[in-house]
Amino acid sequence: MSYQTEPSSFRDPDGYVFFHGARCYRAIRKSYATTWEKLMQSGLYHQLVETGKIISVSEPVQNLKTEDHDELHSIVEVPHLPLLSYPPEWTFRQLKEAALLSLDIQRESLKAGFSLKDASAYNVQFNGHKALFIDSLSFEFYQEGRAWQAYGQFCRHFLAPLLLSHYGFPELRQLLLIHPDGIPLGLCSRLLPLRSKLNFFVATHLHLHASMEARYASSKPLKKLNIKFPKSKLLALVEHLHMGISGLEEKVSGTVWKDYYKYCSYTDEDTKIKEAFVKEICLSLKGKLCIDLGANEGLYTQIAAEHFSLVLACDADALALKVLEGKKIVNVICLQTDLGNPLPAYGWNSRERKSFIERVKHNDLCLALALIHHLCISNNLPFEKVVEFFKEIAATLLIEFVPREDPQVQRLLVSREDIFPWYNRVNFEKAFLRHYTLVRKSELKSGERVLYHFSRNV
Amino acid sequence: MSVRLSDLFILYIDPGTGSLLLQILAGSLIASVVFFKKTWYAFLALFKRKPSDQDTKE
Repeated sequence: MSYQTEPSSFRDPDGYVFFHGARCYRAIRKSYATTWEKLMQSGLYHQLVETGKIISVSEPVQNLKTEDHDELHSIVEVPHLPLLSYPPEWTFRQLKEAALLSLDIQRESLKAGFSLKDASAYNVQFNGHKALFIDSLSFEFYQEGRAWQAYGQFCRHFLAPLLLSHYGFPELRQLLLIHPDGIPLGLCSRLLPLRSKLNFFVATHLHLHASMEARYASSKPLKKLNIKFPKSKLLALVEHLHMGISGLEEKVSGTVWKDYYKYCSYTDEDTKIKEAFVKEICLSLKGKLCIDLGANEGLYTQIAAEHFSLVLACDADALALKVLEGKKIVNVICLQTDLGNPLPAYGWNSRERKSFIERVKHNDLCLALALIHHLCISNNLPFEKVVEFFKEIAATLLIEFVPREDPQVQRLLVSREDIFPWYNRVNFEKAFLRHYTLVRKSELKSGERVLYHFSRNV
Repeated sequence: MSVRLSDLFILYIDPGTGSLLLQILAGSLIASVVFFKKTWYAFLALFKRKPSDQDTKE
C-alpha cells in the first residue's frame, strides 16, 4: 500500500502528515528530534491532549518505511479526521474559539518553556462542536527575551476577520479565501470604522500594528539592536489578546434575517412525517458521516447526530447556524456555505486546500431537505445541474421536492419573472432517476411536498 | 538577557519587523493594562454574591 502525503503539509521543514490506507501519520524529521523529545518529556503535550485542546499522538510507529526514512526521527499515528473545514467557511463562533484555543495553547506553552512558532488558523480543525489544535509540530523552545514571532500571523488569521465581523462586516471574513495567510492588517485597518481607533485593544493590535508593518515592511533587518522582551510581557500580550477577543461579538444585521422564519409551510403532521422518515433512514444506515445541506436551525441535523458519529450542517444563513451552534451538539460541525458557490480548491498549485465537494463527498448519507427550490429558483439551476452536483457528493441521498405552489417557492418568485416552466415533480423525478434508484418516497399530507430516498447507480 | 532582532529572521515564518517592534514598544503599556484589568476584575469579584450553602442545598 502506498503513502500519500497530505497536500497542505509542506511548509514546515520539521515534518509532514501522510496517509497509509485509512490511517493518518505524522513524520517527524531529525531537525525536530530534540524539540519533540523535550516536548513529550515536559508533559505539556499530554496535558493539552488530556484537556481536549490538541490532537493525540501515538507512541512512535516502527513498522512503516517511507522513502525518506533516513531523514526521519520518528513516525507517530494521529487520528484521521473524517472531515476538514477551512477558516473562510467557519462561523464567527468557530473562528473565535479557534483563536482563543491558539492563545490558550501559547499561554500553556510559555509556562512550560515553549512557544508556538506559527499561529495559522489552519492549525485548528473542528471534529464536532469543539476546536482542536492539529499541528503537533508547532512548538519550539522559548528563548528568553524573544518576542512572539507568530504575533503578526495570529493577528492576520484571527484578529482581523473577527474585528471585521464585530464591526458589522461578517461577509468580509471571506477575504480569508483570497488571502490564505490572513487578511492584511493594512487592509483591515482601512475597512474598520474610525471609532474603532478609540478602542485601545483595536488601536494597538490592529491599527498601530498595521502602521508599524507598513513603516518597516521594506526596511532591512535591524542589526545590533539589543532589546529585552521579558516573558512576563509576552504573557501579558497573550492575555490581552485573549481578553480582547473574548469580548468580540458578531453583528448580523436584523433587517436581512428578520422575516426569514416567518414563512413555514409545514403542518405539525407534516413535520412528524418528515422527522419519522429521516429517523428511519438514519437508523437503517448509521455510519461515520452525514452531511445536512441547507440545515437551517438543525431540526434534522439533531436527528442525524443521534445515529452518525459526525454530522456536517451547512447553511448560508449565519443566524440559523448561530441557533444550531447554541445547542452545542458535540458531534455537529456547522459550516457557513453558499451551495451556489461552494469553496473551491485553493492555495499553492490550487491543491493545498481541497474544494468543499472533495472534502464532503465521502459521506454515508446526504440530507437535502427543503433545499431544491433554493438551488433551482434562486440560482437558476436546471434539475440536470442539480443532479450533477448531488451525484458527485451523495451515494445515499434523502431529498425533498418542494412544489411550485408551495408558499416558500412563491416567495422566491414574487419579485421575479417565472422562467421555470420545467420546475415540477415529473421533471424532478425524471432527472434524478437517470442517475439514482428510488428506494422509497413519502408524500407530505398538507401539500405536494415529497420526500425521496435515492441510492446512486453504480 | 538581551536579544538581537537580526537573530529572529532565520525562522519558519516571516515574523515581520513591524510586528516584533510593536510587541517591544507597546509591551509595557499592554502589561500595565492587563494588570489593571485583572486587579479591577478581582476587586469586582469581592462584591459578587457567592452561592450560599442554602443555595447549594436547594
